[in-house]
Amino acid sequence: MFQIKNLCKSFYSNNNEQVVLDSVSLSIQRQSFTAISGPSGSGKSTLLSILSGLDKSDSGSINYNDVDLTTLNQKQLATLRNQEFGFIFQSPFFIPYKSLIENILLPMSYLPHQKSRKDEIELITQWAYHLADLVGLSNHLTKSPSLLSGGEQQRMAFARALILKPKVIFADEPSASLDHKNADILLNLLKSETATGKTVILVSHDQQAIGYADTVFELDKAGNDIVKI
Amino acid sequence: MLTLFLNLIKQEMTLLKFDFYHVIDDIRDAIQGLLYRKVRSLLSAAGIAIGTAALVAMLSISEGARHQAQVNILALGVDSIRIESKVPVGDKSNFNNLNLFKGIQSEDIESITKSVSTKNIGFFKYRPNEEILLAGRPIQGDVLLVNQAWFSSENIVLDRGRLINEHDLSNYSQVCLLGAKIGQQAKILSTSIGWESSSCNLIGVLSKKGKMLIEGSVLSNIDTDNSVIIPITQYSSIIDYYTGVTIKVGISDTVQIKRISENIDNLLRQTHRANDYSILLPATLLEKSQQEQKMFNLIMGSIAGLSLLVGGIGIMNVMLAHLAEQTREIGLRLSVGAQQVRIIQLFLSYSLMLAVTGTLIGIITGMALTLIIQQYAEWPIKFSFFSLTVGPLFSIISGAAFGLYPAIKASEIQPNIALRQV
Repeated sequence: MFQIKNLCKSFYSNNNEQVVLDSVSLSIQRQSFTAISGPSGSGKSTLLSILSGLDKSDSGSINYNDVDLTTLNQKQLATLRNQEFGFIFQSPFFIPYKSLIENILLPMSYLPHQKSRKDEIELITQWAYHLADLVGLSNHLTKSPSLLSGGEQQRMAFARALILKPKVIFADEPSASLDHKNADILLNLLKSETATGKTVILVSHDQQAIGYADTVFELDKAGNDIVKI
Repeated sequence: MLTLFLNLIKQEMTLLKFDFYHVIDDIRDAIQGLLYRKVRSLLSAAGIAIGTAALVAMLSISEGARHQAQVNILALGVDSIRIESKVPVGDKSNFNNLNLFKGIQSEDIESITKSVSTKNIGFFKYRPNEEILLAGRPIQGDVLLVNQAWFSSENIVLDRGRLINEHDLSNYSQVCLLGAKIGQQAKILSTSIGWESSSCNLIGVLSKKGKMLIEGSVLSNIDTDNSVIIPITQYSSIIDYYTGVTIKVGISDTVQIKRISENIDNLLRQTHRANDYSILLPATLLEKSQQEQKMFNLIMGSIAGLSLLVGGIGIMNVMLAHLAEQTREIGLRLSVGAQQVRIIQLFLSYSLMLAVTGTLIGIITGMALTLIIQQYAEWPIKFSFFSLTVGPLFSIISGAAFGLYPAIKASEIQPNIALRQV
């Protein structure tokens, strides 16, 4: 699904170049649960950002379903993130003035306009209620997410990631701020998605999370090398 | 700089291709966001509200003053020339001046009548603050001694009874009329009105006329509504050189009005040794008043514009604060697929909603303020189409325009960097 070749990324601070990714190449299979691990500063989150179109690489290619993501413009990348990708971050970001169900439905606001929008909205809304039920939040639909616990907020983020039925779910340290029990619930939910045809790409240095993956790539300290384990 | 400007234009052009549903979504989103931070939103809208209130109040008062001034000037008749007798300033007991300061005399009226070939010459004498006995009860009022033509030349309308006619004048009839205000106290006609040692029989009451407000002229003191109007022939035996007549000459050829007034002036100079008269052209006054009003509007507009500028900067400031606070929210929106234009749209909706709220509050406050000023200061006011629509529209545009810079800044945020913000 993803063919990454010679990916390079550097950051500049006070005219000093800091190489984060140096010629990284890897391949990610469809329907896999892939984990990218490595020590802090190895560039695993940067790699995830580039793969998901949130950031641009300096050089190299990312082939996603025969499309080189590095050639896409901001608008095309935004459309790709909206319709093909789902995201779960370490912090369960949300819009504080929107209710839980509105937060789950957030990606729907950024769908391109379609003539059948009314029907589409109805279907997606029904799906949102189903997802809220699936993650055990059906009793909190009208509450502000700020009133929920950390575990509940991450489950809301999981439901939001699935709202537009993405092909790939990107999860950046999703269990880092959760206790063992809540981490298990979330990771099981992610694992179950691979059975429905989705690809999960997880970035973590947490062994519990990595244990759920069927493919693990490990980046070394300077992002110089990546090893499939 | 040029690149930034071109980018702005490009993004504005992109905005024109908006999706109606997305615009509604973003406006709804902005309203939710503003309601979430009620106090801050209200405070930031207050700047625009104050600016709009000032604009509405200033324009309404200015428009009221303009309207009133024009009504007063038009009431004098733009197709007329007024010649007033001037009273010397200083010691009235200086009898050396008596022969010099006679004011307009009957021979002047005759020569003017011949000169301009018109019979439409109304004239009056004026005695302010006289004690008048109305059915034996003393009241304070003005006395106007008039000829018959005065009624038509001043567009005087009768409320009840009849006007003074030629017969009254030629027969020295002891009749009189009352102005609208003073006339309210006279329940029935034929009441006896006393003034000085004489008395007259009330034959009619006039409709409301209002004051004749011309600064610096004798007309500024005339309040027809609070006057007793008496045939001028009743007054002929009383010698009073210090208050002459005021003449109103109706001119049919208004194009020639300035030339005619110059001719009258030349005519009067031949017989008057002192500067005991003045010529007033309402048309010139109207022109002057309009020019002064334009200048006044410009000054008022500039002041109100400055307040709106301050309000707009307030909105920009709040939007930049929003931007700093909501960086992660913007990152989240971008990560789930928001296009840059949608972030611009959302932030513009924020500033637009603040500007609209501020403007609406401003219109209501401005109108209330204007009505309070009218009530307590008794200034004339007029709510014009401009003050209630174009002015506030400018407030909204100003508020939205000041939101453009924060909106573009918000759209330029990199999602990966925004999501890493603590």
